[in-house]
Amino acid sequence: MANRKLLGLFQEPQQVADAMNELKGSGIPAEDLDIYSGSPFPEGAFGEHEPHHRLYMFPLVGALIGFSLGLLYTAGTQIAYPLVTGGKPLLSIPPMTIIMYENTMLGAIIATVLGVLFESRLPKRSLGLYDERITEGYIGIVVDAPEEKADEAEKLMKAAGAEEVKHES
Amino acid sequence: MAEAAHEMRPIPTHQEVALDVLARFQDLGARYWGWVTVLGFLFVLGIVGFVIRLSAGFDDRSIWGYHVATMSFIVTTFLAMPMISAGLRLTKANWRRPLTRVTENMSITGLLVVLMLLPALAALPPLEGRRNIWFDFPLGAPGVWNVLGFGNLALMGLALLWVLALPDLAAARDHLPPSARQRFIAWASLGWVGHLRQWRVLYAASLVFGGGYLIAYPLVQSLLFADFHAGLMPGLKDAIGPARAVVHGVQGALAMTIVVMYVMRRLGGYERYFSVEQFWALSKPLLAFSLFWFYFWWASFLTFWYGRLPGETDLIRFLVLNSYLGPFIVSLVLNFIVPLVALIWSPVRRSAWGPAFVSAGILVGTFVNEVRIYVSAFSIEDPTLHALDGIPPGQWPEAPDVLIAIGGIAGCVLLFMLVSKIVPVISMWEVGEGLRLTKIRRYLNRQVRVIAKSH
Amino acid sequence: MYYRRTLTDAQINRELLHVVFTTPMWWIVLVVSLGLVVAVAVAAVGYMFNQGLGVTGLRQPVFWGFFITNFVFWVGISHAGVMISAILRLSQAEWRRPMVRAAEIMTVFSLMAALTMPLVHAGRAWRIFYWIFPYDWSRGIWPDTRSPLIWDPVAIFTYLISSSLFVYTALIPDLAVIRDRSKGTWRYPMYAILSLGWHGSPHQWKLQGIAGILLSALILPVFVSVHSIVSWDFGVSLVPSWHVTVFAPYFVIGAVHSGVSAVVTLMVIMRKLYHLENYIWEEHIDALARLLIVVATGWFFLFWLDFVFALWTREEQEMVVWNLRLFEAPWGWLFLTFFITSYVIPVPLWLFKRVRRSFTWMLWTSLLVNVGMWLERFLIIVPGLVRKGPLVFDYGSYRPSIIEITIVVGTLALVPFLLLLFSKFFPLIPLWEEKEGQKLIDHIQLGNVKVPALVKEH
Repeated sequence: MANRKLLGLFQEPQQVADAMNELKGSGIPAEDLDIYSGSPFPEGAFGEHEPHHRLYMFPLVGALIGFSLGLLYTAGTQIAYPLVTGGKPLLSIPPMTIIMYENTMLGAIIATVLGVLFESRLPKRSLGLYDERITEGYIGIVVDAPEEKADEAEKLMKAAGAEEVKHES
Repeated sequence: MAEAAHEMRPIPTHQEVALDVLARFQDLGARYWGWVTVLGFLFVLGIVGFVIRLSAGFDDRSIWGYHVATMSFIVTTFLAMPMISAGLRLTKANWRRPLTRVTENMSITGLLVVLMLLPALAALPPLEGRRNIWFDFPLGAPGVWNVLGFGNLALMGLALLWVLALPDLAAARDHLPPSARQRFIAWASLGWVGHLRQWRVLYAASLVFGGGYLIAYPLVQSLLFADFHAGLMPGLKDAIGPARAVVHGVQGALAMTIVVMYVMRRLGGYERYFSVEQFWALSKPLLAFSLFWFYFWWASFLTFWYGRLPGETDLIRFLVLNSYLGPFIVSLVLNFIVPLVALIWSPVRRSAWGPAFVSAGILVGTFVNEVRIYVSAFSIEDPTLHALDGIPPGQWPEAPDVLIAIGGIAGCVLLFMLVSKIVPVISMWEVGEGLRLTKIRRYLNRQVRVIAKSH
Repeated sequence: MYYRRTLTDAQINRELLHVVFTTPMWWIVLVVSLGLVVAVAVAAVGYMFNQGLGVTGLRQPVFWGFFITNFVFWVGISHAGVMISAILRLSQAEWRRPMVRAAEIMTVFSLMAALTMPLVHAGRAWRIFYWIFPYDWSRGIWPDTRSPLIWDPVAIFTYLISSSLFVYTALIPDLAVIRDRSKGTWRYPMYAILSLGWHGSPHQWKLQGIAGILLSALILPVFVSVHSIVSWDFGVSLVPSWHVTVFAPYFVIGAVHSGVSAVVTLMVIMRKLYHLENYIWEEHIDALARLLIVVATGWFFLFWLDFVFALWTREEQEMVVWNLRLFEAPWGWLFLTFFITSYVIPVPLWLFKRVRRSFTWMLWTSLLVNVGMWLERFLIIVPGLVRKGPLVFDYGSYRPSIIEITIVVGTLALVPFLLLLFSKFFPLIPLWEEKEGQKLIDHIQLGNVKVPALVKEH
C-alpha cells in the first residue's frame, strides 16, 4: 500500500518532543519521521533520527583537486614559457607552493559548500508538504507512514497539541 | 542509542573534589620519593655536565651552545605554560579549571632558567662591533637587562602561582596534620579565610599577574632571540624572530601541558580531572599554533629566499638548507607536519592519546629546533663580520651537552613535583567554582549542560 | 552573550527584515548620495584611463602611491569579517550572533573595493588579463607564477570566492524566511530559487552547523595567507624598509586591528540606522573592544620589532627611510598622527569599561583607528620608494593628484553603498542564529541571584 505524508504543526517544542515519543511508540520507525523548524535545536532534542553524512570527505577531495590544478598551473606555465626571472630557477618550489596552497584551499572550500548542499539534498525543485508558519516559529513533524498508520499518526499529533495536520495533496 | 548519546555524567560536588585532591596531595608515598630520587639523580648529572663546561671557561663560546639551547627549550615549553592559565582565564573558558594549576606550578622553573642565564650571559662576546639591540646603551647591557627581564618573568609567574593558590593553601593548611610542611603551607596561606573582599582582590590580582605574564613573556623571548641568536649571526636581520619564538612558546606550552596531563592520567590516576574534554579543547589551539609555527618560519624563509641577497642566502643555507638540514627536517616534521596530519581528524583531537602523541613529538621537535637556532649561533667564530665567512658545519652534542640537557629537563620536572606538594596540583577552588556554575538539565528529549556566566 | 530580552521568532523576523520589506527615506537618501560619490569616482577613473597615468601624482621613483595604499587598506578591512566570524564560530562564542553576517559581507565588499585598485592602478586595466590568467593570449607568453604580482590575484580571488560562499551558505535558511514571507509578490521567485528549497530539517540544520565550523576552519588559513601575500608584494623585494621578514604577520595583525575596528564602526551605525537595539548591545561592542586591546597590543609588538630590527642593521638606506618617516615634514607629522590615532588614543581609552560600553565613544575611537591604519599603509609603502635610490639625486617625492584622491574617496563610499544595497535584499543579522541563541538561554540559581547561563550540547 502507498505511503501517505502528513505534516503536523506545533507551537511548542515540548509538544513536538512528546508527539515524537508517541509516534515512535506507535511503531512508526524514526527514519520515517522528520522535523521542520525555523532554527536549529540542540542535536537529539526531539529524539529524532540522525542520518549519516560524509561531509568530511568533501574538503579532502576538493583539496586534492585544487592542489593538482595548482600544480598544473604553476608547473605548466613555467614549462610552457621557460624564462628565468629574477634569478629564480624554473620550477622553484617556494613560489609555486603559494599558488598551490591557495588553490588547495579554494578546492577544499568549494567542495565543502557543494558537500553541504549535496548532503542536505539541496536544491529541491518543489517544497512539497510545507507550511510558511515554520519560519515564523512553528515546528512541523513530517510523518511518512503507510495508509493504515497515517490516521493513527494524525490522531496522536492532534492529541499531543498539533494546531493543524496537513496532508499531501 | 541516539538518545543515550545525549545523556551526561553527573557532576561531583565541590566537597568530593576537595577531599579527593587533598588526599592525593597529602600522600607522600614511596612512589613519589622514588620519582624524586630518579629526577634528582638526573639533575645532579646535569650539574656534573655543567661543571665540566664551567671548568673549560667562557673563552670558547661554542661549547655553551647546547646549554643555551636547553635553557631556551625550558623557556619555550615549561616556562611558557603559565601563559595558558592566564590566557584561558581571560577568555573565561570553563574547561580550563582542572588544568590551570598544573601550568601555574610550572612557573617555578623560572628559577632554574634565571640560574642558567648567568653562565649563558658570561659566554656572550662583547657588544662592540656587532649588531645588537642595545645601540650603545650603557648600564650593563646586555647582562643586567637580561637578568631583569628573565627575573621579572620568573617573579611574575611565582606571583601568579602564589596568589591563585591562596584559597587552596588555606584548605591544605586546615586539612593536613601538623608537620613542618603544614606549618610552611600555613605561613604561605597568609591567613586566607575567603571573605568577599579577599576574593575580589584575588580575581583582580589574577588579571594583573596573568596579564603581566602575557606581556613579560614576549619580552623575554625577544631578549633571548636578539642577544643569543641574532646578535651572533653575521648579517642576520630577521625581525620576525622574537614573534616566531613567542608562537613557538605557545605551541610548546600547549604540548607540554598535554603531555603532563597525559602522564598524570596514566601514572597518577587523574582521569576525572583531565578528561577528554581538556585534551580536545587544547588540541584545537595546538593545531592552530602548529600552523602558525610553520607560517612564522615560512615568512622569513621566503623573504630571504626571494630576496637572494648573498648574505641572506648564506644564512638560510647555514640554518636550513645545509649545515642544520637534519635538525630542521626533524623539527619541520614534528612541529608542523605530524600535528597537521594528525590533528585535522576530529577523532584524534577528541582523545587523550592523540593530542598526547602529537605533543610528545612537538616537544622533541622543539628541542631540536632550539639546538638549530642557538647552537648554530654560538658556533660562529666572529660575530662582528657583516656576512658569514663560508658556511660553518653543524655542531653535534658532546657528553656534557647531553648531561646538561637531561639535567635541565629533569630539574624542571623535579621542581614541579616538589612544588606540587606545597600547592595542590588541582585548583580546588577554581574547579569548585566551575561545578557550582554547571548544571545538567533536561532539554526536551535529551540532557544538556547549562553553564553560568563566570568571573 | 546572555540575553536580557526574550524575542519570539515572529518578532525577530519582523524586526530584522524591516528594511527588506519596506524602504525608509534615510535609505534612499544615503544610497543616492553615496551612489553620487561613487559615480564621480567612476568618472575620474574614466578620465584617467583616457588621459593616462600622467594625471596622477605617480612620478619616478614613486610608482606605488594612493592606489596601492588604498588596496592594502581595503584588503586589511576585509580581514575582520572572516576573523570575527570564523574565530567566534570555532570558539562557539555566543556574542558572535549579531555580527557575523555583517562582518562577512563587509569582507566581500571591501575585497571588491580592494580589487578595483590594482585594476585602476594598472592604467590600462584590460591588459591585466595578459599577465594574470593562465591562457595563451598571444605569442606563447604565460603568466609568471614566480612573481608576487600573480600570487596576489590568486589569493584575493580565492578569498573572495571563499568568503562569498561562506556568506551564502549561512544565508540559505534566512532566504527561506524571506521566501515564506513574500509569497505572491515579485520577490517570491528570486528567494525561492536562492533558498534552494530549504525546509529546516534537523539534518539540514546539523549540516549547516558543521558547515559553519568547517568553512571557518578552512577559511582562516586563507585569511592569514591573503594579507601575507599582499605583504610579500613588498617584503620579497629589496626596496629599503620593505625587505623585512616580519611583514607578513605584521600586515595580518594590522589588518585585523583595522578590520575589527571597522566592524565596531559598522555595528554602531547599523544599530542606529536599522534600530537593532534588541540585537546589538553594549556587551557586544565591549567584547569587540576587549578583543581589540589584545589585537592592537599584538600589532604594536610586531610594529616594534619592525622598527627595532630596522635600526638593528644601521644600514645607511634603512636609516634614511626611517629618518624621512620620523623627522621630515610632512612625513613626520603623518607618522605622529598615525601612531596617535591607531594606538595611543584608542587603546588606553578601551581599558575603561565606560568607554567600551559607550556606542558614541566606540564609534569615534574605531574610526580613529582606521584613519591611523590608512596612514600606516601609506607610510609603509611610499617613503621606501621616495628614498629607494642609494644616491641623493635619485630621491623622489610624492603628492597625490585630485584624481587619485577622488578615486580613493570613491572606494570609501563604495563599500557602504554596497552594504546598503545588500541590506535591502538580505538581513544584515542572521535570523536563524538569533533564534537559536534565544533557545539557549537559561539561568542557574546561586543563593539569592539568578546567574544567567547558557545551554551547551557537550
